[in-house]
Amino acid sequence: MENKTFEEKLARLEEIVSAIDSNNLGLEESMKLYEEGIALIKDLEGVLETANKKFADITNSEELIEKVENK
Amino acid sequence: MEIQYITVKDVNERIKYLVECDRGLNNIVVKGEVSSLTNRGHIYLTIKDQDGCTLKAVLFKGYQTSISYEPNMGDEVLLYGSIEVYVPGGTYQLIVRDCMLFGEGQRLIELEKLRKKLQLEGIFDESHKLPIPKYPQIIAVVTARSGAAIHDITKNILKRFPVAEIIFFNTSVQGEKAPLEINVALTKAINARPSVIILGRGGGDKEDLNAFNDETIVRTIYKSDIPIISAVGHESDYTLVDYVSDLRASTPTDAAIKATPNMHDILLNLSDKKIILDSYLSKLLGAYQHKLDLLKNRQFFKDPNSYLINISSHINESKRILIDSLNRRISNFDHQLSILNEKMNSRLNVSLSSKTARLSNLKTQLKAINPKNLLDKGYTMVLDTNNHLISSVDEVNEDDTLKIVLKDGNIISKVMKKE
Repeated sequence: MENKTFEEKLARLEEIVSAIDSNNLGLEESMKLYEEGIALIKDLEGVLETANKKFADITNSEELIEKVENK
Repeated sequence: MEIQYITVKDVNERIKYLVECDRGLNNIVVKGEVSSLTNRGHIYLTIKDQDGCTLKAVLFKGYQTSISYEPNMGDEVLLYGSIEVYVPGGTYQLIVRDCMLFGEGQRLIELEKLRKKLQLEGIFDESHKLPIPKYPQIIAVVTARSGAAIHDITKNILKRFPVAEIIFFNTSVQGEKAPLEINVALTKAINARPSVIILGRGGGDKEDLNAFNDETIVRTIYKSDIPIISAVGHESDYTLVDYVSDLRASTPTDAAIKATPNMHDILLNLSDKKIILDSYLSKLLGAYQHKLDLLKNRQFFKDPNSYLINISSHINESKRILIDSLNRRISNFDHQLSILNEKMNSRLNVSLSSKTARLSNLKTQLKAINPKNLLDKGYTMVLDTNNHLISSVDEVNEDDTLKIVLKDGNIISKVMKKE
């Protein structure tokens, strides 16, 4: 799962959800998909959290720009 | 009789008339050395030639601004103007409209010749000029260390675009050695590979700026692959360097401004771009978060138990249905089986009783022909040694052993005689 991009992982999650909706799943398959789905959700949430943090950090170095401006 | 006489005024006026009609005294150029000079607003001077002859001249205030050269004591000059006679005083003077240093004229002619030659070669062509880079990382400045130009230039670069690196190449900017030094410094500057070069000097008179008319310098600038901004003297000063350079600035300060972008504007632009970037990223993250939330709030993930309960009750239901249907089929079979059983039983009975009847019939028949009945009646059976029944005298011979079977036993006998 490491090489997939965020978008690819999200697309896979949507695939899983639509498979569930179709109601044609056997028991074993349901369990497999459940496991995979949960793992994807954890992974994606992690990526988003990291991105949000990074974004906040970068935005906060706005102070740097203001300092230069006031020179 | 009266002596004919005329007035002084008449004389002076006649002289005025003669002078002012004489082409040779109007719009002339007079050469002489300035032997006296007084500035009373209007400049009154006397010029003297080699023979010692003197001529008074006046440079009115009105002409002073357009004059090519302002004369000083002792200068050898060429004065352009016309002779005017002042009637009341009986004097004449040269009304000066322009003044030039003697020799200067020659210099100017030579300069003009050079300019025309270079222009014909295409040295000043616009198409050859290089564009000035927008964000110069390295700016080379070629000027005099002692001049005001260097301060003006560096001050303005630092104010507008402090990230630029400034490299300074010192050279004298006037005097005999200047053209050579400027060319050397300029060549060094080009070899340093900066983004742009500023070549300049502060204000001065025509003679001071003359170094920047040097042909070698002009050709160096033309061949340069680094853009060069020239800033020689003041607004109205033009030297050949100004014509060949990639951009002419009117002053050193102007050159610094033309060479650099305004950092304040850059920062504003960046600030705008940052806002756009911020909002784009915010929206993107928000959208992804939203998508993810929708997916993860599905019952399958949020409450898998109830999902499974659904499945298991599903399964239970199916189980029940299955069992029911099996049960039904089983009882169906049971029923069928008992029906067949009954049928079979009744058929068997019927068949059995008829067979029993037949059996007793046969039994009775059999009993009737049972040889043992005959024995009971007193008949006998005669058997040979092999227990074969003898039914004819031909089957026996004399002396054969015979078995006679009677109802209560056997007699072993021998044949005595056949009859």
